[in-house]
Amino acid sequence: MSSRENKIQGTIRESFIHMVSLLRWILLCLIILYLLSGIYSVSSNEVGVLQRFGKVIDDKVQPGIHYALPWPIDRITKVPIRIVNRILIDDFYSASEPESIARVFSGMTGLDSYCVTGDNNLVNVKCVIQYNITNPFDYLFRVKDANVMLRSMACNTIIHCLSKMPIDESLTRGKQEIADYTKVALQKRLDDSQSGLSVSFVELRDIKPPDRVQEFFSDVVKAKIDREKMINEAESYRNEKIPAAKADASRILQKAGAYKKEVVLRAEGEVDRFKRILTRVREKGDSARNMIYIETMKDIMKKVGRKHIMFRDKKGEVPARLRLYCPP
Amino acid sequence: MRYIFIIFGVLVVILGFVFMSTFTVSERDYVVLTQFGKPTRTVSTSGLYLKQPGFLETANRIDRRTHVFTTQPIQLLLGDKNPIVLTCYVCWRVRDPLLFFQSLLNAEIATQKLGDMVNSQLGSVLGEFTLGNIINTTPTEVKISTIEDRILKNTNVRTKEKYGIEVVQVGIRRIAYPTVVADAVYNRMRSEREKEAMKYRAEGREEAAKIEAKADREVSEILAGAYKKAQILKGEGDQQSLKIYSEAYSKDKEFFEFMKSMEVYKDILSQKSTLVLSTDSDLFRYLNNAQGQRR
Repeated sequence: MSSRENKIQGTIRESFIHMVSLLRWILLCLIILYLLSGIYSVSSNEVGVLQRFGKVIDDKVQPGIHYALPWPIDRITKVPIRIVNRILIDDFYSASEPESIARVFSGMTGLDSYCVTGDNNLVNVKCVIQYNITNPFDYLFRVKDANVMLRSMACNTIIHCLSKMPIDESLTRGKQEIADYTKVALQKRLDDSQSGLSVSFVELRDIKPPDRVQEFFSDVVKAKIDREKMINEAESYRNEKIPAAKADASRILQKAGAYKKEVVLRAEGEVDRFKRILTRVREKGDSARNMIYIETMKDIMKKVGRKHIMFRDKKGEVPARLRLYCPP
Repeated sequence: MRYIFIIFGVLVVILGFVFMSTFTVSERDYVVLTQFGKPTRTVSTSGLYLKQPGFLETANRIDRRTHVFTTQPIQLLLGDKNPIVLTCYVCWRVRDPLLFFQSLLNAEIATQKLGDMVNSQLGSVLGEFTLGNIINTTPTEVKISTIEDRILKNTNVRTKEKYGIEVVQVGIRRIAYPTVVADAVYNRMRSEREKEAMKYRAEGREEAAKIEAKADREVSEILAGAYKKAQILKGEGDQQSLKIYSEAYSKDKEFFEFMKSMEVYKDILSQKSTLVLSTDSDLFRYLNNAQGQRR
């Protein structure tokens, strides 16, 4: 053994010891990191579910910083229970929107999407369901695909509800009833299947006749308006005619009243005049009467356009034939 | 120094052994243990369990959650020969993990089997119902719930014994008509609406005509009433004037007639009148001579 070899061995040993002590530190750090990996936080809209070796030991870990034993012992799942989720149920709506279930169905069978009403009419329905997770345990461990389940059951309740309802009702005052029924029946189905979901609100977004017959439904609405319009026009005709008739009536009455007054006054006037003339005639005899006659004749003769005066012989015969011709 | 390595090595071996001979059962699973394919036991409560190490015993996880799937659309004939296309959803879960593991193995195969079973049940159950049992405006006549319950029960009878599956819910998810029937329904809807629109318009016309006729009647009544009153008034006037005239008349009948005649002559003769007069008349007798004597 040379001293040189000893020297080399010495350096190897030194560096080896050095490495081991470094490894020890690294190992210690790893262990500490491993233990620290159990720290977790639950945010304010969540609740944590803590499992130890698969078994649930706490399904209501409240928001805050917590510690759990590190993998593979403990496992924490956070469930957002205070977040309201929305799902659009457009299974019975027109297939025009891409990636809707109606489109998928149409592609599979070539049929339209609609819901059948109690009186065998077809309608398109679209509704929005708001829900949240109320039972994290059931949601995580009792149900696979809670959303698919919710959608299926919602479709089912809508079918149940509409199959009893006439189309006119469903399009008008039945809307709220459909939403209410859907909410209650859907909740019951969700409870029955232990989904852990709770429906908070059902909103019927749209319910309408299918596009192919839409125009005829709008025409009915238009017809109703037309009916009102016709009645209104007739009423305005009446409102115009009756006051006019009343006005005419009062005019006629006024005229008649005026006539009455006039006739009576005229008679009175004439009679008064007559009486005065009579008194005069009685006083003066025939001369007054003759004067009246001649004055009257003067007036007449002035007025009349054609006058023929004939002389007669003593026998009273007319000497010539007169041809009376009046030019038009 | 060497001990550290020995301890480390032993620790790794022990840990490996522990990992290989234990298994955890999650809350969402059942586990069926098999030895070279042969089932030995099933575990249905969650927690940490021991098993024979490594390949000697295998832990097979079976999802215990409720599954949901939608069946293929199927066209069937109802009892009254109406064709209808139905789609259902099915919720099911594993009841007997061992039986399930032995008969079906996994959820995909189960879904397929269940779908076929539900569809065949649909065919036989719906044969006993009519279209009126599916849609009806009388709520008591609608038997969809009965149909769903029947299918659920009938399917369960077979799946529980045979596959260890419990069907939790079966529900109709979609009702559709084959194209020909749907076209007929569309046409009927259309003609119903056309009829309704026509009815409203006819009603409007009728109502308007009624109102107008009534208005016309009222107008003529008002005018006739006014005419009547006017005639009465005129009559009263005439009556009174006649009375006044007759009073004067009785004073001197002959002179009254003379005066009246004078007035009437003035009134009736005009520019266009032609008068043929003789010189015999009182007015013109002086045309003959100053004495007014006839020739």
